[in-house]
Amino acid sequence: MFEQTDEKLIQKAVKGNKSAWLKLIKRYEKQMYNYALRMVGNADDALDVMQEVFISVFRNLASYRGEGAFKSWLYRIAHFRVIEFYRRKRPMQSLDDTPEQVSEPHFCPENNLQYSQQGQQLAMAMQSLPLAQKSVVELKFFGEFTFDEIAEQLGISSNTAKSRLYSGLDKLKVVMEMDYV
Amino acid sequence: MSDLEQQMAQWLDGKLSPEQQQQFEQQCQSDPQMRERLTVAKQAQRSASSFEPRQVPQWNAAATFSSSVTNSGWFNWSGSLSMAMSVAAILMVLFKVEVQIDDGSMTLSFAGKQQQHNIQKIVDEQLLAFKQDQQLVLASFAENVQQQQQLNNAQLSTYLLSSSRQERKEDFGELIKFVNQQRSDDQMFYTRQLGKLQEEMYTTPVKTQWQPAQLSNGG
Repeated sequence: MFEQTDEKLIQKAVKGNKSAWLKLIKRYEKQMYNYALRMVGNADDALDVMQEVFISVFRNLASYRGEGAFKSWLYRIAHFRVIEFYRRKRPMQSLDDTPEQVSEPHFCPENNLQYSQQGQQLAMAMQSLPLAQKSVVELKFFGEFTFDEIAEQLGISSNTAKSRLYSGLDKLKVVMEMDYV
Repeated sequence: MSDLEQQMAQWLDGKLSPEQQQQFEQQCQSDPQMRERLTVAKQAQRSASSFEPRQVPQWNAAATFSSSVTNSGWFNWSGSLSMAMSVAAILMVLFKVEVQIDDGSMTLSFAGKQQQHNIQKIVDEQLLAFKQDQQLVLASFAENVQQQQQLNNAQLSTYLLSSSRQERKEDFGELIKFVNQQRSDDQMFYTRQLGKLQEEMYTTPVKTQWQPAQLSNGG
């Protein structure tokens, strides 16, 4: 049947239509949850991050001008919420240098089993990357965004996004080889 | 960033034609680092495409909906009020609005006039105090100079008097010494004359009557 566009749902939600807002959430919650899961590596934290993302989106919904895809805007907000998550965990440490290890102690056997499957190899290997590289790898391979879109979402230049991806690939090679062995 | 890296970025963005992609992959074979990156990227693409997303756990999506954020009348009113207050604050900063409460009266000034007035007043007061200080210092300096000059004059006159007296004393001493020397010479001269006369009187017998005129001519 007819499926309303994101913009239409947003207009309705801004006017106070709760049903439209819930439809919009239903459309993107799976993407956001799995994005958060790959970025923070833990189901509970991922759910918290996803909720914060949708709260932020709703608060800023009136300011959404419809410039660019809603999905890009959503991912940009999600990126900021993930940064906030890590800042809360480690307020005194740079997010660009070291891998985010905060979630590893929370990996449950179910998660490890899932990550060990063929399709989860990349998601698991990404956990060894610093947040700056992990974000670019996530948006490129899972989000399937172009470098220009990634640059816009992360507030960096396109060349920086490329450099971060290449650095991430160099590290992933080592991790994925180790996993393979 | 190298040409191969730029090509790889285009390949990752899906902007290469099949021919360009084939050419790019061939070029990567000669560069070990790019070859490995390409392999990992392909592996990552396969892994991402075969990723099975997890189901979202039950959560209260409705809790994210808040009527206070939507376009209600209150929101517009509060937003407008906020904007108006922000604009007013910006204008107050731009025009340097100053409010001064002094002894129960309030003064509102623009462009920092009040502050300039206060600064001018303080500067004038400081200048006046400086001027008075300078006058006192100048008067004191002039008095000191005058006293010093009087002292110098007194010392100079004392010196001149004493040196003049000393010079006169020395001059008189020289004169007396000269007169004494002259007298001594005269005495010696007359002594010799008298001795000579005595010698002549004893050696030459007096034949004729003594004639004072001859004596005076021979002397």
